[in-house]
Amino acid sequence: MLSGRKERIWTPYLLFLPTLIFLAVFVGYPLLKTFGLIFISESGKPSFRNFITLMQDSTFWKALKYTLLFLFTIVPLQVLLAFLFALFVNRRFKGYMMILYIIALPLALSDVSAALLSYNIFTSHGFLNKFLLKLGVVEIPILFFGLGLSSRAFWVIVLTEVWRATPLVFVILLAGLQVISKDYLEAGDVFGFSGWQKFFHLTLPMVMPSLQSALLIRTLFAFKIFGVVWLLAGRDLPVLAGEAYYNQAELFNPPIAATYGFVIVIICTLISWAYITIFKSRYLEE
Amino acid sequence: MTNVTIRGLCKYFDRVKAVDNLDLEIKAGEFIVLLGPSGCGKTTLLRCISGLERVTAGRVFFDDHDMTYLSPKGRDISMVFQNYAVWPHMRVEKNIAFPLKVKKFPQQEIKKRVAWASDLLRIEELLDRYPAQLSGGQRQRVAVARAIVVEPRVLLMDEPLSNLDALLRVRMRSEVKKLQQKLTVTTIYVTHDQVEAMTMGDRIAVFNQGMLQQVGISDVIYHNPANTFVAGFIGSPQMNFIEVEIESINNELYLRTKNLTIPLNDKFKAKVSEHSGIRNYILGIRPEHIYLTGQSKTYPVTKGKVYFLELLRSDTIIHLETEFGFLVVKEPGDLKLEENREIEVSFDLNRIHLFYEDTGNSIMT
Amino acid sequence: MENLIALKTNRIPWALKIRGVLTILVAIFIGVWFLTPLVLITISAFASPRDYYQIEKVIPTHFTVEHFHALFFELEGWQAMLNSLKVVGLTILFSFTVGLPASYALSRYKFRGKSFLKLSMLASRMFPVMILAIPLLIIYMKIGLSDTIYGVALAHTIMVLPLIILVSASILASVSVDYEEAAMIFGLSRIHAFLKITLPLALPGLVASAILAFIISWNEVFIATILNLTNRTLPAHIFRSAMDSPDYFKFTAGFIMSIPAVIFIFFVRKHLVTMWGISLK
Repeated sequence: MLSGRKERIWTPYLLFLPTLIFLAVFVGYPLLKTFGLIFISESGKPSFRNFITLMQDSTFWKALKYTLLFLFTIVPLQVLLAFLFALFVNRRFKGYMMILYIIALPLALSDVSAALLSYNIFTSHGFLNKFLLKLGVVEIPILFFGLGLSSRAFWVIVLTEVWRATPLVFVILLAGLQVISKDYLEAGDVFGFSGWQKFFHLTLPMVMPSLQSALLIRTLFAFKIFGVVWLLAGRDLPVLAGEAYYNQAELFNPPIAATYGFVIVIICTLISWAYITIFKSRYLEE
Repeated sequence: MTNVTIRGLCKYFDRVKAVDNLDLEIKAGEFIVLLGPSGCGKTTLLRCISGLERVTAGRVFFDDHDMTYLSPKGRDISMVFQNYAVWPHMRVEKNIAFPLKVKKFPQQEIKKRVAWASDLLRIEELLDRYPAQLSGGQRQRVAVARAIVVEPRVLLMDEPLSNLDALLRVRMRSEVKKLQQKLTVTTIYVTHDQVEAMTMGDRIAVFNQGMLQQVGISDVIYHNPANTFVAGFIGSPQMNFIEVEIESINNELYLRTKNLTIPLNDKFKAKVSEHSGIRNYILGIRPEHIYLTGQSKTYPVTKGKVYFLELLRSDTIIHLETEFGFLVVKEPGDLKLEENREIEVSFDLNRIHLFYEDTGNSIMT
Repeated sequence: MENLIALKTNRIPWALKIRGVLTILVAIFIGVWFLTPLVLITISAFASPRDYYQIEKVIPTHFTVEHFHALFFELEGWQAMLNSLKVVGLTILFSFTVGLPASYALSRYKFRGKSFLKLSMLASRMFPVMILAIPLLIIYMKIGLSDTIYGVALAHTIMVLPLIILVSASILASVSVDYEEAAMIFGLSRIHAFLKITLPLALPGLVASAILAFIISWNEVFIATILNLTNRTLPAHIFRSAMDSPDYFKFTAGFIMSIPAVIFIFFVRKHLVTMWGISLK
């Protein structure tokens, strides 16, 4: 009898054991290794040299600047667009499943394929230029990529990322909208709310938790922005993750690459922490 | 106080006729209960009256105003939802006050009315809480407070008590009824619970399969059911139905089947002779109107074997196996009967109901 | 009846008709916005280079499968694709072997620290796993895992595991415990009850979560590029070589990479909102 009870108490932990071991070996240990890489010099002494090198490097500040620029243009656009789409699909008109499916298509596309899809449209022989030439709107192709054109490339990247990742936000928001019971809105109807009043006083506050988590996830993802930028603009538009890649794969300088990674982790942790302390939906607490 | 008139109302969902060609007059200040099994269309009718559902055809009038194509906003109604729909992100006070704010009441008036409603429903201490911190019963009170505070022309209630536990439900029945009497607001109350309907409604409208079966005060619904559906739906245990034939013996008319012979009551005679062509009827009799023979020998008698006893202690429900099928008898008090024993029972002739076999309608209508 | 229909059509207000038209317009906009790039890449993937470089030819008229042949058999695309499939398969295998017991624990037991474990699984979704690639490479070089598909698969398992645990837990939880307990009453052991009753019932949902793992691993490029030099996965291979290749190869590569994604979304479309809703919250 006693052993039976014991078995039951320990079972869930035993079931979790493989996961915990795996994460300790493949996350815990490499993380320690990263610290070693960054903060221990070749002679084996603790040192902030890598950090200082990074802080003094103008490329780092440029990469931080562009990462933030991408963040502040892409994320609001995505969230706004995704929210509009979610509100639209949530009206459950005839055939809304079809639209849902179409919006979801880019969900599974990688950043590499999104970059190529976008290149296909915006390159000098791409569809956009051919089309504009045919219409006579322009006389020579507009170049979007290449030296000195980074501001044009910037907007192409923004467009590509908005296209690719809006569905992610859309799905979170739609899930959030779908759990709002229809009754709450019908109660609004019965008590004489106008459409706007229903939206601002009922739908919006109730979907707020989803909106906030979508915002957080997109913000964190934006710090990992890499593939699209690297393929379409290279290092003309340096970003943090791209620099980590460049230092590792091209310059074979693991300590600096790791330091870039470390900076990304710190920023992400700070944002998550700030997010959790700032936003708290009190009404969800028991 | 507002009259509600429903004329020829139809609501179809694709092929399904949720409400079919329905006429109903609801008097000003009346508490009417829409009663029926789940899926009978009573909630759909309520939603059509509220404007949440667009009617397929027909008209809805409040007094002389045609409301049929008005949105709920224009109808000056309020509603208590089955799962309350108390907005989760607003405190109780705001939940009650918000509809008033939307209707642009002055701040002073809002305060006064919230105080009045929360006093009436005894929820003053809850005003600062969020709905998640309330019990089901408390949430229900908030929903009712929110509904009455706007002083609607018509108050709609969609199974408001069905999510409460049994004890609370009984208490809330009387409270809601008292409240309605105090406010004298025209109230349309949907339920599938016949006890709720009988105890609360000024009148009861019984529904089945999208059609109105009978409207009337509870006395009429119980004692003069219009058809076999109403007769079977109201009352517990259910009314006994026995297929009988009319037979003439010595110039007297009798209802007969197997070993049961019942002389035709005077009140039926006129109706039956008019339709002398029809031979097959359904006889209905409630379990409480069948007596063990020892008590009254004046009524016609039949025999049966005790199959099963439900000992409720306050009453005893006897399931009898007879030659024409099972017969359920309800006797007050605690009875001692062995199973399989053969006993005699008699039918109260004045309490017999008679329905046409083909339509199921009462022959008295 | 005629009367009835007349009533119905007469009274539908103009506002409703306008709304209907608006709905269609927005739906068309959404369709064009999301489908155009996919349609165009399909055209370009099959377009002959001559048509492509002819600037006045918007829509090509000559088509070829030459690029596919070249990409697969001359430019090592085929090998990269096989690598990708192996990595994806191993990732799914690893993450389910390690993670499924944990999902079962989350879905069936109440225990101390459960909500903490659940939260940390959620939190690890926030963690930029990609930065682990650099220390992992150093570790892998020591133990001989560098430049192998196993190394990449293990790294991808880090990304996928918390997700698989959470999604599978919610899918297992949706299979009523009653079925399993009924089996146990009738004499099956807990493990047997799980294998014979719960697992078959949960299978469609678990397949969907495996597809989720497929998509993540199939698309991942940062870790795959850094860890492997020769045994590259398809995205890594394309990532390294695409920009140095002629344009038409880029489009064919883009097309090849997008197809599985589109197909898989089709298969998981029923689980879309619930699954991604969980995985992204």
